[in-house]
Amino acid sequence: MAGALNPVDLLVLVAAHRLGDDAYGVTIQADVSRLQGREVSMAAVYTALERLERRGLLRPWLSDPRPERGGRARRHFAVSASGREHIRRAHADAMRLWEAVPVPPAGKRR
Amino acid sequence: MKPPSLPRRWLSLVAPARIRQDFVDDLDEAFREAARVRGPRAARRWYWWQALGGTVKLFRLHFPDAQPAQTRGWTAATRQDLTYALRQLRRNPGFGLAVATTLAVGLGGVTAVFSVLYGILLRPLPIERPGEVVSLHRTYRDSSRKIPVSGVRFDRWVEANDTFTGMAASTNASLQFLVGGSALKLSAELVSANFFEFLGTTPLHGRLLTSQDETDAGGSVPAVIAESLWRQHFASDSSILGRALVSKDVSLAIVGVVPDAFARWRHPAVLWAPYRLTPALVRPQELARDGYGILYPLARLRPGLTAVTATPIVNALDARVSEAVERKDPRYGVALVPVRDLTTPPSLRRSLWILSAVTVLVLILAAANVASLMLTRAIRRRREFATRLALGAGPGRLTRQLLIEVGVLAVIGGAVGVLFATWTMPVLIALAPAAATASSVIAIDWPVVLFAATMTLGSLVIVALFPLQRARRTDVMSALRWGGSGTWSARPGRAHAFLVTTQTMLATPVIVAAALLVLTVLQLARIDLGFDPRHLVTMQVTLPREGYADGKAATRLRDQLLEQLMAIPKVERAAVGVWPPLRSYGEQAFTAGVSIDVDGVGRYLNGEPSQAAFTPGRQMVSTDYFATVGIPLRAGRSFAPSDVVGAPSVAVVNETLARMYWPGQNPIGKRVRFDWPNPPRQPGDFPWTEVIGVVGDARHYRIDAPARPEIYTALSQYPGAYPWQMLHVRSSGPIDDLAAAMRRAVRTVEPRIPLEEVRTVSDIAADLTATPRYSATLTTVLGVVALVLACGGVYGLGTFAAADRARETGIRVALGATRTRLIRQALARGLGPAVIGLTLGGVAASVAAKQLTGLLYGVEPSNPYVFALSMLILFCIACIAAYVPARRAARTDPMAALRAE
Repeated sequence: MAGALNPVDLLVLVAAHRLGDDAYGVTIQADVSRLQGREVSMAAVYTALERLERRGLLRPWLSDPRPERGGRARRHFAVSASGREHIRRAHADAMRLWEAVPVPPAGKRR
Repeated sequence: MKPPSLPRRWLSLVAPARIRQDFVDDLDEAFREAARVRGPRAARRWYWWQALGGTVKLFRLHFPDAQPAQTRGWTAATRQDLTYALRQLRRNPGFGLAVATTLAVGLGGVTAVFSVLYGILLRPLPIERPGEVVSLHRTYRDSSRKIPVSGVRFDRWVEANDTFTGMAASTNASLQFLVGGSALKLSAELVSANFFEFLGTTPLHGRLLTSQDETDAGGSVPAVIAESLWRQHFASDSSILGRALVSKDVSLAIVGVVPDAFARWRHPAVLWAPYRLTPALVRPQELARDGYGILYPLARLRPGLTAVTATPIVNALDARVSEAVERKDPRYGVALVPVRDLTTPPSLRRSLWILSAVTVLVLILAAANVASLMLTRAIRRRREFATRLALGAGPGRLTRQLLIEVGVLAVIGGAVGVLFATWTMPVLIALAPAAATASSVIAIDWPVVLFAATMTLGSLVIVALFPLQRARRTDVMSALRWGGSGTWSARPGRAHAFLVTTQTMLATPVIVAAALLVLTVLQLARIDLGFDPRHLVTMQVTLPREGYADGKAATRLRDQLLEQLMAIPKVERAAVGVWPPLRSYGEQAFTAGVSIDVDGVGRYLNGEPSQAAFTPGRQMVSTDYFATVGIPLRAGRSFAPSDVVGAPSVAVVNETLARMYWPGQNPIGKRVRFDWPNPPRQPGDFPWTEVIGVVGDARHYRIDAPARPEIYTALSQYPGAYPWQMLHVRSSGPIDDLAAAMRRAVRTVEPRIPLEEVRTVSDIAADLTATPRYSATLTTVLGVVALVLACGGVYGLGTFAAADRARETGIRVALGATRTRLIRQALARGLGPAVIGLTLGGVAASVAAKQLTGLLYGVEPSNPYVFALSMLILFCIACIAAYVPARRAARTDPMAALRAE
């Protein structure tokens, strides 16, 4: 798994991919929290976004001016081609791994 | 709905500029959503958590090139930096040693001084809510003497009071017991039975006295002893409870032990018993008499009251009580003193605070010194930093590494500093005035260590600032190309120059303060007391109650005592007086005088503020007193054996009194009459007293105040007047066992006289100057340290500048510049910042010197000569410190310099 991302970064990338055009700080944070099963801080999300952006897996773009932000634009993130490639590979790796693993049944060992 | 403003502002500070607005906007939007879903309160909590919890991550975003924040990676990097820092220290032990030593001295000094300050002034007293407790005493007009309260008055205060939530009282006693076969003399406090309940003390062993003890009569009297007494004389035996202590006056049974901390506070007492149950020591008749004051009450202020605001209320209460017992006298009042202020006179408190301030200055000086050392090293390591930057380390990484290096040095310095403090503390305590240290617990415990740690952190910040700035601004290319020096801009030298300016600026007030205090001590030593304190000892003798009401018996006793004392070998003279030659006890000068009617001149009433300067002090003495104490006779005669009861009443006056009442006239033969306005007596009740002699002025009260008018009368004419008298013995030289010999002499004459302490008058005089000498000694030491540090800084700057300009100097020498010219220019560069610092320091010193006003004697805080001399000394040493490296630089071989690097 070359160039593996740490778990939070991967989740952020995946969330950005799922959200498509609606991917920006607030929505990504909410989605990642949902995927993780616990609340993730906005700072952690932003840190991940920075790293992904630097690796070229995400591309930022600005929306139209938003009135609720005092006329400022909102910063969105789109998954780049290499980002999509990364997701495909990560998915394939994960599926390969779990296919080989027998899932233990719930309850006590016999 | 708006998110809370404080965390929002915090986020704007912490977040990097490029993402700040987006981040804040996103968080605001999330907040609004959270408020809608979870409610406003939960949303606010959530926002705080986001702001505070995200701080570290946001901070890291400032260093985007830093290693990816994988927690394992982070600790590995720190460990790497730590190892590297330690390796650097090992390779450059001299540097490490210099830095650690400098920090250790600074931090150690601050810790030691703070532990003394904390122990004496700040440590919470070993009682409940000490801030509420005040001590009460009666006052007479403007006299500073603390007059104890009578038993009946105290009882009435307790009954009628509504200002205090509780009151207790104590009186001092000296008891002698037979313990394990030997006589043991103990200082004790006889207290009201609620004393310990009032203070809220807990016993170490057994129980403490309670109000019940007063009502449960019969059997032995319960007593409580101090832990130290238990340890020293009873071997901490756990079966101490119930043990009997029997003296001729009282039989006590030990019921409990108090911890040392409490006993120290009540120093010198080591035993406590209820005064109502010891009638042999505190007679009920005496307690019932208002004129017989023996109690020192303590009280707890009601919430909302302070000592100052409660004073008029208590004075009104006292006036009412005075009326009720028919002893109304408006000249008496009541004073309230917070219990903490009892053991520490204002001058000691002040000098401790000043000492602390000076020590902190020296610490900052030390830190600045270290900072310049580190800066020099950081500049020398340009190549190293440049290489690391070129290889991909982020500035964040460099920052962390430098912080760790500085941190290691600071921790070592701090630890050695605490060790250093442990060693210097006994010295500080030994030098300090005994009264303050005896009743305080001075040790290095957690508040002191906490303080030391805080100071270490603070100095870390100062020390790390400069090299950090330097390292981050390293220009990689030029550093790699030129290595060490090269075409140098003025900017790097500026930091150094700033540090030197700071150091000289801080050193100046310290040196000036030391000079002022040393001058004070010298002036105090030059004071002429008016008598000769060398080889003069005093001992108090208290006549027993029975058998000495009659004046004849007292006179006979006195004569026998003097005879016995004169028989001691090497004793030249012996005499008896009522007061010791130096009557002030610390700050409380006993200033009460006597009312006097001067024939043909007027009456001077004691207590009248307008006449305060004229009312004389009165001393009753035996015939050989003046010769014994060493007060010269100026005119007329001294007392003779013929001056007895029945003979004409005579008196001797001092020069000040003669000048005051009879200016320009011969005082011999003039008449005076002692007066007693309260209760009022007829003028004819007292005989006229004739002045038969004039003696020189002696400073009986404060050694730093001029002599007051004094009138001496013959003890032989007032034999039964005072139940206690002062023996004065002058010897021809120091006598080893004089104290024991004196006690033996007293025992031979009257075994019932309790044995008191023998004190040399020189010791008493030295005690009075203890605080200024203490301040002077310590400030001088600090001044020397400051001087060394500041000049070390100047030397360092000179060395750095010289090394820096080695190449340039080499070129100039090669082109024909003379050595002298080079030295002159180097000196100017090196001394320039020092001179600026001196000037600023001089201004700071003149402001700071004003704070010393109460501690100085014989020297003004703005004395220009002191300032000039101090600054001159600093300047001269700075010149030398700048000259040495300048001369070395001027001697460089130009070829070697050009070839270098």
